[in-house]
Amino acid sequence: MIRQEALDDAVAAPSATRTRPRIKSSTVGGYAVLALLLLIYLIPVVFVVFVSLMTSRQFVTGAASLPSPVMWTNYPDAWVKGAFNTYFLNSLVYTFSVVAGTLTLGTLAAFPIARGHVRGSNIFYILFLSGILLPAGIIPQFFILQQFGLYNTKIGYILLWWSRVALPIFVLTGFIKSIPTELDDAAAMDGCPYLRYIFQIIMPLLRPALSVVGLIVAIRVWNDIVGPVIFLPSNSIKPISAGLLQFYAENTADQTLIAAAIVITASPLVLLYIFTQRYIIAGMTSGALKG
Amino acid sequence: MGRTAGIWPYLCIAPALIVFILLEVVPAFATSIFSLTDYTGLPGAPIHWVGIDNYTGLFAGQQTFLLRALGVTAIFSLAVTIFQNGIAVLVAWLLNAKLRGEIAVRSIVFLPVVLGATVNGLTWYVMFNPLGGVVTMTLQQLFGIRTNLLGTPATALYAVIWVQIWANLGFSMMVFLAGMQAIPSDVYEAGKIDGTGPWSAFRFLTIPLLAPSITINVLLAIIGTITGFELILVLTDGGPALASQTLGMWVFNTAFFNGNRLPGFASAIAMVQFAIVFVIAMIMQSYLRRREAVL
Repeated sequence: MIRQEALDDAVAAPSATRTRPRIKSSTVGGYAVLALLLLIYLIPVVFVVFVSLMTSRQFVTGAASLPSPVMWTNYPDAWVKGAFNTYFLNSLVYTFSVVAGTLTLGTLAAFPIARGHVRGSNIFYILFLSGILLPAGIIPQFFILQQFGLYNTKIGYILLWWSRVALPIFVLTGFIKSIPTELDDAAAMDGCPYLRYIFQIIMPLLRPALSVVGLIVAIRVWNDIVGPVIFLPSNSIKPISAGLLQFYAENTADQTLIAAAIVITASPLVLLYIFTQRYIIAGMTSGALKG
Repeated sequence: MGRTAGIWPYLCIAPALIVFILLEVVPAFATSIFSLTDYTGLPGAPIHWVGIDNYTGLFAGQQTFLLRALGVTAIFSLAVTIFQNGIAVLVAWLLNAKLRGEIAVRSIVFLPVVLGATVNGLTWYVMFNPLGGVVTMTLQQLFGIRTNLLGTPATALYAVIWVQIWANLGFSMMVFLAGMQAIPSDVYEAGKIDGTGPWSAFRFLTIPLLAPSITINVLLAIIGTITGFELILVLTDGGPALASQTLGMWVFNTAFFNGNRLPGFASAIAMVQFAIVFVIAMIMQSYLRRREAVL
């Protein structure tokens, strides 16, 4: 079970006072390995940024040098040519509605399950828990969406994401169990309605958990590529990940514009990562750690 | 509170339960039903029962394709699982020692996990570009060969494996690092009294005590490489000449993207894929858990 303290521990920086195994003679070797690793991770990033500022001619004849002249215009060119404002807006819509929906559906279901307010709450818990292990049935999903006329629609794609509520319920149930039940009793005495209690008392108390779960879901939605390629074939409703792939398919020869489009797509995530890194890393790996 | 709430608790579970059952649970099981039909995916086209035709077609008619995909999946899965976890455990060990720049390395190696398959894939697509890509130019400088790694059947799969490891190393590394930080320091102090050097401490203390993290990382890598195909989709789409078409990629292409779309037949491939994942996960789970228990 993931609890508040466990997450706090995971989020907190490793303590400097801990005695760690010492490496003495091999320290130099250690630094060499880390330096090599840094190069392998930084070179692609730096190279793509450089290419995004080159002329196509320079990329073909001398890509191993600094961009000259610096083609800032690649960015507006790629943005306009690829219709990136449509993709960008779509991604914002998908990310916002999936996160808001998942957190609402998740909390509403997790509270009665955690408190045992429904008969067989354990069965519901195990049912949702098993969802984490179920194989993805993309072909039946395609069939069902088509039957309901939701194939190639925004709402169909959002509903698919809402159905992945298993992991959020699992995490939120654990957190709700750590909230004392005395609070529930007091609210019941005051005649506070059930729904209002969940929305006005429980949800604010869950804020740390909700923000980590929301952050992880947001990153997954923003990056999803298989889903949009299958369920959102129309360009006008594609999110930015699929838009980038579409742009690449249509401009294969123009590497500098592709590089600019890559930077455009990646930059919101890089910004988010810079500010919320600890929570993202803890949130993404804690699922594996408690498994 | 529960007693006075009446029907409300049930109403609260209902929305999540309905979407979950309808779009997650039912589809997971319905793949087996579709594998017994000639479903074409065309709206309004009739669907007929064809019994086990799809399976006989897969094992007899398409046997060469099946064996090819199984071979590619095996190489992809084994190479990624072994190298990703092997490198990750070493890097985590270095980071867990008192080396400077630990936080910078951690942050940068984890970045691709956040950036996602399209950005990672296309970044390396530019790196592998046969005209001006860094990898191409470096290979030319070193060996004097000019090659298109992603476009050549002999090398495409290995290029994809490289990118897959590059993209996911940070995740395994952080899981291992968290596992290492959970090992109490007195274990190492006791080891020091017994005269263990850094290498033997790693081999005989860190690795055994890391068993739970190893189990999780290995299982996730195996399952992820057999079922997942996001990076392959972006980088090669399974090509060239099917050189990088894993089972997952094959299901996707057969169901939605080949000239002749056959979601019914693809369901049969998906069932084979599921059976393989299930058997491997069960075997690995019991083997790794038993090792954990012994240690």
